[in-house]
Amino acid sequence: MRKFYFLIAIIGIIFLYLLSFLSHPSKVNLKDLWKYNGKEVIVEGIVKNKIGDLIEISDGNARGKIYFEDNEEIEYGDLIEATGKVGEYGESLVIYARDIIILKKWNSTCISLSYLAENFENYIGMNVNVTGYIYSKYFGYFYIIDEFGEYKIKVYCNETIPFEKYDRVCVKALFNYNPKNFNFYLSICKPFHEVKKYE
Amino acid sequence: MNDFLLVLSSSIAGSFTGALTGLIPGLHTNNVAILLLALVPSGSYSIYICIFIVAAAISHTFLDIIPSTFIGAPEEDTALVVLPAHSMVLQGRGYEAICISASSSLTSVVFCLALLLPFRFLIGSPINLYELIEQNIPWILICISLIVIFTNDSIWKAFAIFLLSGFFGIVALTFETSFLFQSSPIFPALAGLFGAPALLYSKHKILPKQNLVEKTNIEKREVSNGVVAGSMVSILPGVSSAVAATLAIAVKKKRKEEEAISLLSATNTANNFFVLAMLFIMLKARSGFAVVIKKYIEVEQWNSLLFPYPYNLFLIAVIISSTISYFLTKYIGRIIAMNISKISYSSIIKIAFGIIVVMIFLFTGFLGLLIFGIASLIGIICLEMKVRRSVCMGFLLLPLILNHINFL
Repeated sequence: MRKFYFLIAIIGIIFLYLLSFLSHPSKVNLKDLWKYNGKEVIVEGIVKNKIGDLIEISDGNARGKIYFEDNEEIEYGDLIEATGKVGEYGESLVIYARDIIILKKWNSTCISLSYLAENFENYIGMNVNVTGYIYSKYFGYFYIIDEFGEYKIKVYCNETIPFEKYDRVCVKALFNYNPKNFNFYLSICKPFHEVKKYE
Repeated sequence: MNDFLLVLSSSIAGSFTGALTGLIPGLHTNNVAILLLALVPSGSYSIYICIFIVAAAISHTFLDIIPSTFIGAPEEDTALVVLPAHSMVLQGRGYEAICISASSSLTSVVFCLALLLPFRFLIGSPINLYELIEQNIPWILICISLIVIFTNDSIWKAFAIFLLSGFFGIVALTFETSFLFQSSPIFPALAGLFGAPALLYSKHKILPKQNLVEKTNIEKREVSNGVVAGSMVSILPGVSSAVAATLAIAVKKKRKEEEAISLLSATNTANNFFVLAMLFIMLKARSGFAVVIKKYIEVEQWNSLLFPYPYNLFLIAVIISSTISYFLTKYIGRIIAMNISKISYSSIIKIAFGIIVVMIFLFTGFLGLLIFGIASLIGIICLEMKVRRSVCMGFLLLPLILNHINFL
């Protein structure tokens, strides 16, 4: 009898597995979201913006909004995968996510300052983990440069940093653009932002 | 004075609401909190809504022992307590099980209050244990799984059941099962793994008259173990109180029924208590009710020695709610214990089964019933193989481990 129950349980799990294929949502590009209004979809992208329960992501070709309440673990720059139903939110379409998986955290990879400068459009408005060398420091901000002294960026922080000139550091900060003076800058403004000596 | 009355009345109303959700299998305080968020916009009164939610969340952990004990209908929090509590009913000691559970939950609140400051300094600054624990979640879960498997007489059988439950969890948890109410596949699965087999395999024909003598001598050591397990799990993201219960129960190979009830009730209450603490220490919402609180009010991080506002009010709500719930659990438990033996046991089983099936259908529809059926078979295999039932928690543990190592 025990073997019979075991067999039935395994058949049941296989049946459920097959059923999950039938009911499983398909992975779609953000630019095609309008075709799936009212249907369940899976989307993937990098978090570009987060306001309350709304998360804006980009997959490189288009941007899309996700409505997800329990979103505190998700941060700017994270690569996420959301599963949910496409529906209307005001005048735009959003994905009402029932599940979000963080595929890659923003701080899991460290990029150089020169890479950031050459690919700035991919990182603007996002948390970045960037390496560079201390160039000069002042109260409330400091500058870092790349290894050839080609690029320089201002980093805003509330405290004076305990590093010396040319110390190699890792800066976890928000990367942004100031249109008033046509300058990019890094801002240490969240509890998880920091400056550490590169080891 | 007005403020005090509002805090008091919100706590009392929350306690009774939590009692109601605790008594209805499948219904959780989170459902009520989410419903409140949808119906009541935030405003100057938000703080009292939050107090209401906190009181309901605590009260729920006291009262949910009643359906688990008398009809064997478990929730995520009480899945493992079904077995010792229901077997005490069959010995005519159902009311004693309820009293032990209520006293253990109340004692756990006292322990939690005593441990709150050390917990704050351990998890937050200056020790900052949180980051270390968060980085090692997969290892912690693997250790819990190994403890669950290796504390069985037959390790291979336990391993087979763990894998079977685990694969079942991987498949079942991908489904969106909400039917008439918001729900997850966890409810039908745990009702099948833990509730149904206990009812189906009961050889008793007559339910003995329940002894109504109040015995509340609880094992304080088990309560403190439960508090530690509950506090640990409140730290881990994505890990539910069911895992805390599994951890707590698996550490020791053999326990008396009373000890198991004490341990699991304390774990359950402590888990919700520390979920609330985590909201203020790390600003992390680890449960649905904490998420709703975070939506209603601006949560200020607890950085100093003194409790921040409104955490101090929430702690008052916890104390009021646990006191009310203690007496309410015993009162309702007594009424049910007095009357349950008037009904034949086979009728009780039929009624209990009927309630579980109806609840599963209302919350999760036909898909939920299918999940319940498969889960019941796995639960029965576990009984037949004489493997400890906590092994069935592979249903939650294996998907969690795979999720944390980015395998799923």
